[in-house]
Amino acid sequence: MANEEQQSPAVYDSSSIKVLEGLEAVRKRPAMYIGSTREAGLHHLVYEVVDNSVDEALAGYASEVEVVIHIDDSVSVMDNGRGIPVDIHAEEGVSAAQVVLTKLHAGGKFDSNSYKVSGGLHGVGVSCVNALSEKLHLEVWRAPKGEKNSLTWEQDYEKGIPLGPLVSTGKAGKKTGTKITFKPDPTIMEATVFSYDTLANRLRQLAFLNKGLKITLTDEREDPEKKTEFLYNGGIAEFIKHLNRGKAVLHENPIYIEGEKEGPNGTVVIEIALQYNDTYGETLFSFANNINTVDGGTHLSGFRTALTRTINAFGQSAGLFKDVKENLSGEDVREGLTAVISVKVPQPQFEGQTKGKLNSDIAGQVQSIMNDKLGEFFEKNPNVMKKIVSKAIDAARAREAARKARDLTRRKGVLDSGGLPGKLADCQERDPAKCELFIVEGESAGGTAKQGRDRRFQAILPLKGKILNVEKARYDRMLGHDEIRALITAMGTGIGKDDFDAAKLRYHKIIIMTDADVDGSHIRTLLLTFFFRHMKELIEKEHIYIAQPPLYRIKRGKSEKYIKNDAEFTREIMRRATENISVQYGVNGTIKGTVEGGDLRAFLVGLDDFEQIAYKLERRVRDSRVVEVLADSTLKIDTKADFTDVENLQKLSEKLRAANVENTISFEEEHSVHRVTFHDSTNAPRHIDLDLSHSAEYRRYRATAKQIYELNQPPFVVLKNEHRDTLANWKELLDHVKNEGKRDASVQRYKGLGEMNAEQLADTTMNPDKRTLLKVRLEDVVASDMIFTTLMGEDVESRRKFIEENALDVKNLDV
Amino acid sequence: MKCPICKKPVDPYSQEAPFCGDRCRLLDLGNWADGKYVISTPAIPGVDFRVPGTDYGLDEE
Repeated sequence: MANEEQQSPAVYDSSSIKVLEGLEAVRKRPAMYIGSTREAGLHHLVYEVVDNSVDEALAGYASEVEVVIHIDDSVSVMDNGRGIPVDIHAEEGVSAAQVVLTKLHAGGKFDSNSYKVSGGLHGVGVSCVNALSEKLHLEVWRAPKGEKNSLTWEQDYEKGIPLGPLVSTGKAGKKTGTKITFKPDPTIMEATVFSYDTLANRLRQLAFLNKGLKITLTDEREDPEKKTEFLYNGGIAEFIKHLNRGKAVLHENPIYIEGEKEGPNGTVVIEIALQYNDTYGETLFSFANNINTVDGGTHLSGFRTALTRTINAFGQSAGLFKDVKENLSGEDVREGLTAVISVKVPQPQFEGQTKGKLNSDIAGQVQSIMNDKLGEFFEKNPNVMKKIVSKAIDAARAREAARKARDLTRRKGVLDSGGLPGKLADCQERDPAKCELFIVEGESAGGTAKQGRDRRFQAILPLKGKILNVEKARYDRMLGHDEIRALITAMGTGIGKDDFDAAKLRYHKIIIMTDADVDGSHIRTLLLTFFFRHMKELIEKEHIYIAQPPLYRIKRGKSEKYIKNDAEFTREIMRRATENISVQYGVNGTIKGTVEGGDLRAFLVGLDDFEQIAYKLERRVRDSRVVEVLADSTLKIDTKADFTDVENLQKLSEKLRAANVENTISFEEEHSVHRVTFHDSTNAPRHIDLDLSHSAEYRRYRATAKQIYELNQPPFVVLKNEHRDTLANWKELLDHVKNEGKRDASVQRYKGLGEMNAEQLADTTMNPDKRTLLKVRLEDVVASDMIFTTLMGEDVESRRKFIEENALDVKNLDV
Repeated sequence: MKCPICKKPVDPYSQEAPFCGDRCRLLDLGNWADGKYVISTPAIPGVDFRVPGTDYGLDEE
């Protein structure tokens, strides 16, 4: 690039320097010329000088720029360009170099014949630097007109004033270039100490922008001196890699586009590099003639238009927009984008004092090159194209989600004049610490709750959570947009990362009151999951509760008792039944023993458990006789060792045979154990093996069987007053006792809250003096979220498995 | 714990949990706002049905 012979050198001598005005004003109002007298202005002085050297490189005459910070915080900038013209300027009568260094707005760059393009941040030129330096030394290596070998030329300045004319001081052979050493004037500059990193950043940027240009920065203040070389043959593509370092990128290599187009004042050189990473932000630098156009401009808008258009066109024709409602927006395609746009424009037009925005009309040129070259790249790299389009589609989805989320808290329609949901029955109290909100499923339960509440401090929000779906095949449990919206509005907290504020909660107790059945637990799971995901702070601050409506009412005479769950119901029934009975067991001519009171109750509750678990196990084993045998606590059929010992398994085999179940023992190579195989009623083989012994049903069944083993010795005789009832086995005993417990009482099982009247609901579930509430803890909700995630999951098989495995506890799917 | 949206692993004790970050939190909120989360049960007990990705079959007892 710096090969003088191959260039057709435009004439660059004193006649190309135009003098515009003097320097006096610069020292009076430095900030007007270099922005400030603090750090930014101080470093700006270096950039002004460096920009002259880079301009020489842009014009194709220089390949190296060397910047040195000296120990006294003076700075040298040296290039290997042609050297500033040294001949006498016709109008000024002094050397052209002196004109450049002493006249404001003087310089080759004001003559478009010399430089095609031109940088320099403020365009004030090196004369400003001179004016603001207590000392400046100029050294030029340049051949006089008509000669081949260079001479060395030198001149010194103080505060912009030359101490003498530019004089030739020696021979320099083939060497050409310019070196300016200056020390900023501490009487003007508030900051005088240069930052290595600040200079390094800008010089690195310049090296990226001018590929092949070597820039070195040396700090002589350090011992040993610190030196960095910036040379990027990859240009701005390497800049992109630098910007994306440490980030996960969507495609390995930056997309690099370059081209030239005719612009208003000559050829515009356009260079663009871009790469996507997995973040959601945009990192974008635009430059015009090496000037960082922080406010963008025509080059940037051309780039953006073309990027959005091209990505949309390719996404559309590749059929990737199936579930995208509208086209991707500019915002969508910019997510995760890292891009550098660099244009070189002759006679650039900028807007603003700091040249932050490019005004030259070149949007069309940038757009057309982008359309062509990015399109070409996408055609050749369809996989990269797909990744980029998918990333933008994700962004569009997020934008849509954000819009919907905003809609949740926008006032409209369903809210009353006070901004509250129309179906909320609010309370009179205004102090949130004293207020409670009951979230109730269904209009009818909502109505009952409204009648039963204490309106002074209890509010009711009925939600519609159950919908028969369109195929009428199933009920969908869901919280629709309006329900979620009503919930958020009633609670008063707002929603979303920036808007949610727990301090605005209108009720310090939020009580979920749903039916005590599977449906109710689904609604509860939905609500808890929503709270956990988007209002976690409310759970942490212990504002969320679960009401405990009764599942049964047992009424005898005038006494009524409400029962919360099945376990408690069984205990209650057993308690009533065992009040006045005793049971003899092992009644076979002799009597092995008699049991009553607490021991009898524990035995009967154990039997009830046993019955339920036996039913579950039978669904796996498919033969009630086998289930019966497996209850035998004398059998060792629980551990791997039990299944390894074939003689041990013989005992099981014999007992099965005694129960009329034909079976065989075989060896299972996979686990090196034995197993017992029988055939079920469909003649399908069923195994009693290690696998079965690991199942939850089996383990619980065996454990329960051990608990009741001692007393489970039929036949039984139940003694009540003078009455004796003989029962052949434990099932008959259990049924008999349960009926005893229900005798003379009416038992009602509530299928929903709606079956209670307002008074009953208040007494059992709502009245703070009588109710029990479960406080929701974070651990519970984590479990709830896991259940929810599984239920929502797309993996049908794992969902199925999950439900089967938890079928035992389906009533306990809740907290 | 996995992020419910992108399935990336998440530290359950982080402030962000159960999400990996703000983006997925927002997408999830959009799903709620859209009524996309549905738990289904058969209208006729005992009838098994499954529509992949949208619901699940649970035999009511």
